[in-house]
Amino acid sequence: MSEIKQDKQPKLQPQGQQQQKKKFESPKREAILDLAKYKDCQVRVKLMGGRLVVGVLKGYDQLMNLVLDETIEYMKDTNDEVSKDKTRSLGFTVIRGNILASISPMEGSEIIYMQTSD
Amino acid sequence: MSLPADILPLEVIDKTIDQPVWIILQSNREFTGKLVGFDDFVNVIIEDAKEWIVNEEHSELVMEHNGRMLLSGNNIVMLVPGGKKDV
Amino acid sequence: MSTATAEPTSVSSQFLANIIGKPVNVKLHSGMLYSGKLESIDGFMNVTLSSTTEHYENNDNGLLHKYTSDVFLRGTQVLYISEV
Repeated sequence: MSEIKQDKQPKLQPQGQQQQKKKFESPKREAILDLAKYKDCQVRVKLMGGRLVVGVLKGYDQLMNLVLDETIEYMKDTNDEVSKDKTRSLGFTVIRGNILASISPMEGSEIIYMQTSD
Repeated sequence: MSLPADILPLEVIDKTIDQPVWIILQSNREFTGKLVGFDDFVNVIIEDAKEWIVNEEHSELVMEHNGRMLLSGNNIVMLVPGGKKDV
Repeated sequence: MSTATAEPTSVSSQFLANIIGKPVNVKLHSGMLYSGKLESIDGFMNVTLSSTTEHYENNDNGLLHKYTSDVFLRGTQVLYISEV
């Protein structure tokens, strides 16, 4: 699947194929965000499927699998909306990187309460 | 990566083998049981699994499984070592 | 991590090899539960079952279908395969 079609590369020399491939693949491996600076900080993680969890970041890997401690999940209510008062404590958890939608530190963000007009 | 993280997620899962685990999917379905093993895709094998559907207030037990179960890693979002606390 | 990454899909393929020919429950994402004898399986979790019954969520719920021939289940839709 991840094979890169190289036949459309006119400048490519035959023996350079291997190197070229390496060059193509390497940017993927490098995370654009270094999670090290969030270590032991509270982070807010959104997951595919609409789950929202907050926890203290304890570890991670290149695939963005996370280890969180003191994890709290904000549960969806009947309207399928995440509410701030329906929570459950999960404790020490591993979050799968492949379903991670967003991650941000709690510090440096604030909750804005919206007023809906009637 | 500049500095290796102290705790690697897959190491945490590896250490949970032979211990109770609580697995949460993208949907409102959850599984508890003893972790037997997992692979690169985090397909998971659990033993004597209990299958739950979690609603607003309570967890409904859908099924109890005897023996081993291969759970597709496709929909797993969270793994909680130690199992489910409130059951 | 060392054991996990050394042999890709080792644990799951081992499990799959062990349960061929045995009675299994297979659940799909839709919640449909298929119970039958596991005829074959591949790495995508495509499954074929024989003498299969179909229930919703759980075998205590009413029988929806009984298949006398083989049933093929697509791997992408499989949630789990469990020994009976």
